[in-house]
Amino acid sequence: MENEERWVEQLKLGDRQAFQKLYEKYHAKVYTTAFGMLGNEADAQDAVQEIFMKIYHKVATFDSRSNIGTWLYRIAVNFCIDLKRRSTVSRSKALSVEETLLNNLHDNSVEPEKRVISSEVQQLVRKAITHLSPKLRSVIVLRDLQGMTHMEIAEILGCSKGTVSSRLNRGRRKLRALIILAGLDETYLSELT
Amino acid sequence: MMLHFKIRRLLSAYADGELEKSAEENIRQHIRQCDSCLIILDEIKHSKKAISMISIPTAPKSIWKMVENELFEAKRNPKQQHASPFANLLDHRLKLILSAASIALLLILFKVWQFEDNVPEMTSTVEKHISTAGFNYGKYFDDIAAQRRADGFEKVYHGKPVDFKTADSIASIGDFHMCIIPSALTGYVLEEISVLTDLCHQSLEIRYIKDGNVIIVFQQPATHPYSLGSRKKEVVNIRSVYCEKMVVGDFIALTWELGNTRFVAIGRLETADFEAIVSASIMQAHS
Repeated sequence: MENEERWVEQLKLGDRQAFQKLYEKYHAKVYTTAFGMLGNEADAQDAVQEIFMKIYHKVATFDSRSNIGTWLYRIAVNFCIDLKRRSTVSRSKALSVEETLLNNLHDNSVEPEKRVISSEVQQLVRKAITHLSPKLRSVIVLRDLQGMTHMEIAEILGCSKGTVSSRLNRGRRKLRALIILAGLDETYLSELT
Repeated sequence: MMLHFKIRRLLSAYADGELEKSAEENIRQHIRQCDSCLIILDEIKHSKKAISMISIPTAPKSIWKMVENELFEAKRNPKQQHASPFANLLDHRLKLILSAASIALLLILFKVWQFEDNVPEMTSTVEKHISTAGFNYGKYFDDIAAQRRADGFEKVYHGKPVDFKTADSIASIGDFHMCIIPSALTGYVLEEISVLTDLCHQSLEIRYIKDGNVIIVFQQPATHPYSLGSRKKEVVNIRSVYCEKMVVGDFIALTWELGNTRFVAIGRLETADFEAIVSASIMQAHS
């Protein structure tokens, strides 16, 4: 515990080694969060870089009594939400979720029976996640990709455990609807469980 | 037996093994007899399973190299020097001052622009506030405004149309129609808010919090027809005052009553920030 406090103090002083330790400890999880939130590797890599630079510059404001992991994930989630928000095309021009998914997935060059294969299912699910609202997307990524508990998620997002649970309900049901809407066979989806 | 809606709220927690034994048993018993709840549980499980199929790539080592280079190597070159966290605090303050100055400048320019365009002089306090703050009705709300006139509202004010193609968020909560547009100068501004002037009363306080997050707080008589619409609202307790909360898209609206006055806070914010501002407003009203 004392070591942790000393480490945080060193971080606040801008110590390079302390920061590298922070990066090594958390970068994989931050990358997973960014990948889930943004839906592709290139954006996730850029986001991780930006997030850690942001953390370095903001660490002096971190309240040492709090958990640094929670603080860091909060920054990561908010950064990804903001990034996504900024890159969103105007609503008037934006295709509907259904149109976008269908356009992306109903590629005529792919034979229908080969469409539903693992990698495409993965791509489809990833895209569907990015079409959820930021609030629903955050809980799904933190729970189902990161494996965090509802309580941990509640602390990161600054809401109650009940809210996390209810957002997970909505998010998962909506996600399933989007996946089916985009062409994934409902029977296939049932067989997954 | 627990009610369906109570059960359904807990289904994700059940699927994640997050419930206590007794609650888990209640749900298990319920879904044995209830097909509709079982279907929802299956949907949740399908979704969980589909997400679990996603394989997460490993973060490339080059990311650390880039971060390291940006933060530490560049320090050697004074022109590219990055501030230490402490120096950054000073930077942060400077940024805040510059942002405040930019907003003030924007408001002044907006006022001059309005004056030059011969916008009819505002008659009520509320309209004046709206105009000064840079809020106006635009093209997007033409139909709404027309409808309001048809409904007998007289004080529907039209300002300059706004290019809604650049809108970042558009939402309606009851009688309030809002639009947030990115601004090169200030990051984000609540560029457009359609507030029926008849619904406001005297006070309209605008707060810019941080990029993309904007909130307004205003008052109206408690007897006034309800302005947030008839959809079901969540009740939250802030500083022992019960507030009704509604979330629509990125926007949150909270209303609370003190004496004969109803306060309405509306905008786009993280929930915690929003409630902190409402809490401060309640304190202010009490004092």
